[in-house]
Amino acid sequence: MIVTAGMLLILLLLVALYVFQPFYWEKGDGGRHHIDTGPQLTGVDRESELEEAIARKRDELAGRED
Amino acid sequence: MIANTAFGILVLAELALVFASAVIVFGSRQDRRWLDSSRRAVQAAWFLVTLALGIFLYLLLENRVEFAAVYRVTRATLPFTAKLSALWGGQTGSLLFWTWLLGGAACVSATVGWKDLPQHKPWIVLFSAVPFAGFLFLVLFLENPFARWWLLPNGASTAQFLPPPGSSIILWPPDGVGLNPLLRHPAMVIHPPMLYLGFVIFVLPYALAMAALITGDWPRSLFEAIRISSLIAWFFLTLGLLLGSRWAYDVLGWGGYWGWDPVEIAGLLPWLSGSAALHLLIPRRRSASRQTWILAVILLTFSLVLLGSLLTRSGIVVSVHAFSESTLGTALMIIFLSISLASLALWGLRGRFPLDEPPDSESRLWTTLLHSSAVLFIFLVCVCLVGLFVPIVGEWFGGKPMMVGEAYYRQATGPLWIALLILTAIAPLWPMRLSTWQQMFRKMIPAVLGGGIAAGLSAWFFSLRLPEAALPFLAGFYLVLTLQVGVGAVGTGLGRGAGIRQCVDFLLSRRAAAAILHAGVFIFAFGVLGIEQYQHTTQGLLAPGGRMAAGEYSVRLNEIVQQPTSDERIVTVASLSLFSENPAGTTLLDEVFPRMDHDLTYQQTTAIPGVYSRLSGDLYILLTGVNLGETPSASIRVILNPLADFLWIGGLIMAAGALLLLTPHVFLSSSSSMSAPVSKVNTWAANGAGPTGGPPG
Repeated sequence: MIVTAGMLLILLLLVALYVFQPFYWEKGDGGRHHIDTGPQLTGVDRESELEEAIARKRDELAGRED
Repeated sequence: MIANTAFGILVLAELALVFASAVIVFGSRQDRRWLDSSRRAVQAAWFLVTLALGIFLYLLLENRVEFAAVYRVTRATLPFTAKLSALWGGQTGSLLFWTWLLGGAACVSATVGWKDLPQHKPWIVLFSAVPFAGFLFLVLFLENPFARWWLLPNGASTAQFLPPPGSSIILWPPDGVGLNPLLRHPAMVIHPPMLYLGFVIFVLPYALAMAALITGDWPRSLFEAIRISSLIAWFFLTLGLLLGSRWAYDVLGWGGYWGWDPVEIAGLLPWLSGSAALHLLIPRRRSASRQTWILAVILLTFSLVLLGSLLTRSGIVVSVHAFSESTLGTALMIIFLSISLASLALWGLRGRFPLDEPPDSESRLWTTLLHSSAVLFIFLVCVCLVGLFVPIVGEWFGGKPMMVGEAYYRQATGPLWIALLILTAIAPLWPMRLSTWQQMFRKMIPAVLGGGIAAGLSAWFFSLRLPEAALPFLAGFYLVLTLQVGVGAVGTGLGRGAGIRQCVDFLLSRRAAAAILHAGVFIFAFGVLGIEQYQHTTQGLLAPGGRMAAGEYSVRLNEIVQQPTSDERIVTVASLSLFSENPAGTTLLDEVFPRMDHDLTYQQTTAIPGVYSRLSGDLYILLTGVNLGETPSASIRVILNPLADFLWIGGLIMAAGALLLLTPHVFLSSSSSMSAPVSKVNTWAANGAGPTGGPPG
């Protein structure tokens, strides 16, 4: 009985890990279902850095268009 | 332990499906993480049911007869293939297998990207998961495959999963009952899986149709997805019905292939309405009425699948194919009614395609012919439903048990089949842009001549009577028209500088696939005509060395042997020599060995025919009785089945045509992004072969 319950608990855990994977690992399925929210600006905490980052991004996009 | 684990696995699967459904209905459909999570729950549920099915199969192969579902269908002496067939040979295993296949279809719907249908995706997953959850519920609570035999305090026994009050002793019978002898045919290894696959795959077009109704968005890609999934289901259903007919022909020993049995009809109904839907899905232009009716027919098809399940599994109808004992009737009725009525209500409320697209190059005449085909298929559905329900309803209302026999179905469906054959014969006119009846009739003149020659030749050589000569006429007509269109288009293309590659592309197009499928229909129809109209039966009592005539043939009984087998049967075999009688003399053709199998466990005797098969027809020889006393004798029935092989060949060609329609090349030629070469040669077919066509561009 205990062995059966243990096996089912492990199975339940594995199923839960699989089912809730999108919540704890966004690119868990190889990025196919990754939500693309556009260009990301991360690690920016000062206004000047933000402006620099925006300018960099703009140049980058302009260069891509060329 | 194994039973508890397997049952626990099934409970987990059901919980996963409830979670998936609840997330879609009540959760945030805008958050893709929740949608991903519900998709994964459906996939996990199918994986879990696969595990449980694997465990049940293990129990069957290991002959674990303390489990009631194993006890009822298997026996230690059964060969491996029969033990495999035992999985679907009983109600419980069959329901688990059916649920697993339905879950497979739901898993496909949860796994496919549906990139063109992001808005529909949650609903597609939901409406394929809900029937899966419904049938899994039946497996868990009404037909538990892991129920065991328990000894009750009063000495009786009962089969249930949990120990009954006051009992904890599991009974372990010495051996199982064994598989019904009728189900030990090789076709039974493959016939039910094919048939079930055909049925369950119809859940995909159903889910797509429901998603369209809920979202109110009916894009072209949705109808293409409905077409492809319906075609896959139709392919498997065709093969399943064909294999079932072959099983009946080989095992039931009455010389026929189709008995208009209620369960056979229940299997035919989704095939008919699926055929109607596929014909409605052919025109590319979307119109308000057609798109609305396509969804109605798709919903009807899945309801008919559920109805078939209800009739077969509930014990409502008595049939050689039905499960006679059942606890499922009410639950199946609830599933059937709730899904059918919910579909009907949703279609009634929201089944309106907003607008007609502007007319395109497809002729109105052509779409009218396609609509007529669909209507005829639906009429056939209605005729069969009347035949099915009149006896049931009559009995419910206290009347005497009523029988609707083959005569009703032959008379009621005959004209409809003939009308469908006529429409099939003129189907090759598809690529020609004919807009008036006059143009159509003018184009048909060579085909009419071809048909006339075919009918005349068949009347001359085979003494075909007048009404039956219509079939060779239609077949000849169809052949000439197909060649006229196909060869004409390729010839026109080559004459105008097309490469061989482009012509091969044309020959592999959707149109060519449909032509092959319809050719299969005619070949099949010849098989039906041969057996239904020209079957000839001779019966006689022969002593060893005795001989009897049967048309142009004669049979001689050589000997009769009776012996027991290791799997508890008594087999009586007659050895017969088969001769051809013609003016030049008598020629030995072959030896055949019809037999009677008496199963000692089931106390059931099955007559297995000896068949001498040629393309022109089968000699189907049955041993119907035997006397092994001092003067032994055997009762022999010889049935001449002209053109019987045409049934199997025609059916396989129909399935091959459906498969060809599913090939990527054909998708390409039928999609909106039609490849240039194929598109070009198709234009030749329309312009070059049609009287209204101008010079190709």
